[in-house]
Amino acid sequence: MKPYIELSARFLFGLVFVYAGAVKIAAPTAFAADIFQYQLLSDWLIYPAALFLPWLEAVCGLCLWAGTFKSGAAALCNGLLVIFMLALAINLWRGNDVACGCFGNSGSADARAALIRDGVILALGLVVQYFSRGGDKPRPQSVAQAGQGVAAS
Amino acid sequence: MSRISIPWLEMLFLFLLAACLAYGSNLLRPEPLPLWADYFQTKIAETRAKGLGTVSIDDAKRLYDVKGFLFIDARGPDEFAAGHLPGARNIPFEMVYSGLDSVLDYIPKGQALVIYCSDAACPKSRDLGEQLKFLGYSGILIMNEGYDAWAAKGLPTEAK
Repeated sequence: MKPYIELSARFLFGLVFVYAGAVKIAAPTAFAADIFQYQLLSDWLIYPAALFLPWLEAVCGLCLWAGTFKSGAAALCNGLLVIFMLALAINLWRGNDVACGCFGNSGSADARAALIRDGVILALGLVVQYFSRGGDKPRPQSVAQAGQGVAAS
Repeated sequence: MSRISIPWLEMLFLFLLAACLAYGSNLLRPEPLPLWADYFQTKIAETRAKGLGTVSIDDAKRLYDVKGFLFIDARGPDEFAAGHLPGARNIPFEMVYSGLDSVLDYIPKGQALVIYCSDAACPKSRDLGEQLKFLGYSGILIMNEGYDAWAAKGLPTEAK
């Protein structure tokens, strides 16, 4: 894969999380309200989650941009996306069309659209994670395999 | 055979870094969020701080059965149309900015009110209650748990 494609995917994926984290860091009370409406966490965990999750998103997004700890950052971002999608799906199953709150308080409640959007972002994230682990690089041969190759030639 | 390697150490480091930043940034806020507090109870405390009474779903049901209380739905017309407490009046919170007087002409100042919106995270019931208190209404109770909890308990609702 061309390096700039991997770089573009990582930048775009990181941008999503930096933006999502930044708007929620700026308004943790609104994010707490969003978490509460999901009705999945204990009331005691609402504030800690509202404070912690946006920073986790922002830190991981910045690491993806910088190319530092990119494998761990991509794994965490994808894990967060899976959790968010599960939360949306559970509420849809309950018949509770929650406002996603993924990018701050957008005000509109369309959990299905948010679920599809998160799925697209997750697909991008899996690509980023694959290449952040050197998935496109050829694997080095073992010493024994290399020796057999030399003998055969 | 290739192994799936999960970068646990990197993830742990990022996790701890985010936790430190979240804790530190919260300390720098003018009004830090409580790290260990029951979210629902803090919303009830906010309601009381505005000089409004609170009522649980179970108690609200008892008041509903008494028939002496006027239930006010502070949500928007679309949400109200999708489902509300039977007999409730819709006074969207946005009417505070225009048109509230025309609605209140029909509600005497001595009328006991129970105001609700969707859930405890929704501030509309508290804000509308605060405005009504400012306008001279005294018997105001806020059903913090909101319509969602009322409906989830299988209590009476209607749609129109």
